[in-house]
Amino acid sequence: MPFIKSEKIKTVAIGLIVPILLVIFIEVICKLEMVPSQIVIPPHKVVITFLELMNTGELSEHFRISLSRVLAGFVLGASLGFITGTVIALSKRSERIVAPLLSALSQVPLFGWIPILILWFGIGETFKVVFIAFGAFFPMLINTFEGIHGVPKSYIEVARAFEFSSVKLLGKVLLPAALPSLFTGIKLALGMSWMLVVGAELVAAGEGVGYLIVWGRQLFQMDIVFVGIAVVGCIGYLMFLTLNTFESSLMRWHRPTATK
Amino acid sequence: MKIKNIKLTHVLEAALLPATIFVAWFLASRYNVLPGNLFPSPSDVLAGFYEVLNDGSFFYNLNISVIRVLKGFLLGSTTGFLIGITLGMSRFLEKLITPIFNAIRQVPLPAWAPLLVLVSLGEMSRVLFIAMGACYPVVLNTFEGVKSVRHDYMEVGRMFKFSKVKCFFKIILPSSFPATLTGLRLSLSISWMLVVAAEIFMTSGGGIGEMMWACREFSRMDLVVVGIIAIAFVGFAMNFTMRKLERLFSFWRITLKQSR
Repeated sequence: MPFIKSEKIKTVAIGLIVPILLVIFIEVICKLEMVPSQIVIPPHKVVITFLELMNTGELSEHFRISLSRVLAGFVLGASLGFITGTVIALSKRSERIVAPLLSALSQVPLFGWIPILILWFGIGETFKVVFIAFGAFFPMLINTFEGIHGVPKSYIEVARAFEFSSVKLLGKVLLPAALPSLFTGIKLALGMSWMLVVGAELVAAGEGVGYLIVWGRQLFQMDIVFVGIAVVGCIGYLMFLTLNTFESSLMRWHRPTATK
Repeated sequence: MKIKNIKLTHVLEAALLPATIFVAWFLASRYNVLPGNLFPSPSDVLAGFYEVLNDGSFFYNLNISVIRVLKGFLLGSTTGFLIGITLGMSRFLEKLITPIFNAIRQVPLPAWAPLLVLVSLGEMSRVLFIAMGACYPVVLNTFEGVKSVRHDYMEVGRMFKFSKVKCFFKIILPSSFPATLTGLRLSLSISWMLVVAAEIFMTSGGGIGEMMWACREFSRMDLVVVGIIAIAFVGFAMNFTMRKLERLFSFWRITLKQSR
């Protein structure tokens, strides 16, 4: 046991070498004023700015707003994706009717929807939520569809032998068997939502972490920009970790899928 | 005969939803059910298309976007390929670089845009933005490809006393190539998504995204729709070509599978 522990510490230590060297390097070139101070700023200043923004409560307010947007868009988009995916996986006819339209829509690069959605909904909350929902919809749809399609025929035959009703078949056989794929969909959809909220806040917002980054840029304050980048990175990662933990506790029989 | 009939109904079913939407759209704009400036009729969109075709702005902007994507894609995927190979070949570098690579990867891509604007490299900042997105999938897939080169192949190489260089070119590179190709396909479609984002976040360089963004300001919904259809088509064409390429090289993968 202690052997494994020291091995782990060693891996972490090696992983920290590059970041630490990088921080020292940037600190040194900033001290020696080798680069314009507006473009490269010393890392300790970013930490100070982070603490300041935390103290004034500004950061948590921006974070709260972004998170509520993500949740609204994600829940809307992912649940629609889940329902559509289930329906078209169960009925061949509905697949034939809906699939061509959906695959045409999915060809549009997501950011291309921004101009059209702003024209329709203005630059308010509706635009952001719908935009995020768009991004969450497709990964959830595809993974739900593939998950249910990939359920082994033998499972369905067993259910049929026990004369399961179709509701029971869906709830007891198809969805549990498709759970790993559903989780992949949820992870991709949430990652996409988080990316799109930042994108939406860059173009049209007065608050939120994406706006914080733009605001820093407008003030020409690199430290605020970097705080924003670090915060969105960390939160995205935390979301992913939370989902992974949840997934492995829910499905002890299955190893968490490596996505993102 | 029967098969043909079934196919005909399939085609009809596939056309049902798009046709319904199209007719509803046409009728709604004809009888002014919906505000015309927000829901332009199909003929408006066609007229708008002719307009931008005639004054040359359509192909001018499309050309800029495509060249921009190719630059970003080439830069990003080459870098990604080299990083992927390096990390796959050396366990030490893998431990050294992977943690910081993963940390950077957690940041949602749009968040980098304001930083790149601040650094103000002009066209280069747009290309770098695309290159960042293009790099990740190639790194991950190439790395996986190199890591999953079969041990027996390496042993055969060792038996024939291949030099390290020969091992790399004759064994590692060919057997990891299909995985790299998958990475390249993902990378190209991400690049195309990001070029639209880059042109919206970092304006004043032209491009189809910027055209749509400008049309939004003038409330020219017909041209926004033209833009959406155009980017969807180009995106589809790129994806299609990459899939064909992937299939072209898949005889490689099939022989690998059969030998297993």
